[in-house]
Amino acid sequence: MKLDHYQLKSGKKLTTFEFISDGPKGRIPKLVQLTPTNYKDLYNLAFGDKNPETGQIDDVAISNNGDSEKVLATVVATVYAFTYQYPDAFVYATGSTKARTRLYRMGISKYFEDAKKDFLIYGQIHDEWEPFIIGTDYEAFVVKRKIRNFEV
Amino acid sequence: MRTIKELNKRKVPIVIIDESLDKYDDVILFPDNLAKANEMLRTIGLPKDKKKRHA
Repeated sequence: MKLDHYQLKSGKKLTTFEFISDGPKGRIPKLVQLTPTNYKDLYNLAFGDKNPETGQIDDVAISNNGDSEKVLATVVATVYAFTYQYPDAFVYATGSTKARTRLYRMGISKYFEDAKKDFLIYGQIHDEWEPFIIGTDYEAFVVKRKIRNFEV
Repeated sequence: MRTIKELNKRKVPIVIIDESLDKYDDVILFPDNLAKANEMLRTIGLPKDKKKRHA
């Protein structure tokens, strides 16, 4: 998948990523973190804004910086980078708010045709998992790389 | 030589390693979101054909 995304920085473990959203409201640092859950090989993806002055993280902020597609593409890019490093990992994502969950769904939908070549993608609805279908109002998502060495 | 824009469109992105971010390795930045994820997973589990054993 070829995505126009922001430049990513990460720590050595490739579990926390930082990028800068650049738009009409200025340069807003954002952090994406993949954290182990209570399940083996299953990581929770979350992201939010970092206050550059206090360092505090806000995962409910809506920055409206006019670049939501590029931000989404950058979050998707972190999943590629993370699963390249950890090919057996499952990545779980649900939004901190319904709006954020909808943002995830839009991101997956937008890149679904390409992403489904590289990932198994599931959506959760009514306490059940099903293969992701565009247009369905899922509450959470799980993705897993299909192949161990996809084209870089 | 490929341009930065072309390089940034690779499937697996180029990631700059910034050791200042290592400080987050042992910090859960989004605890509420993680708690929500664990609770939801405890309730419904994983997709049936992809279940993993509990850690």
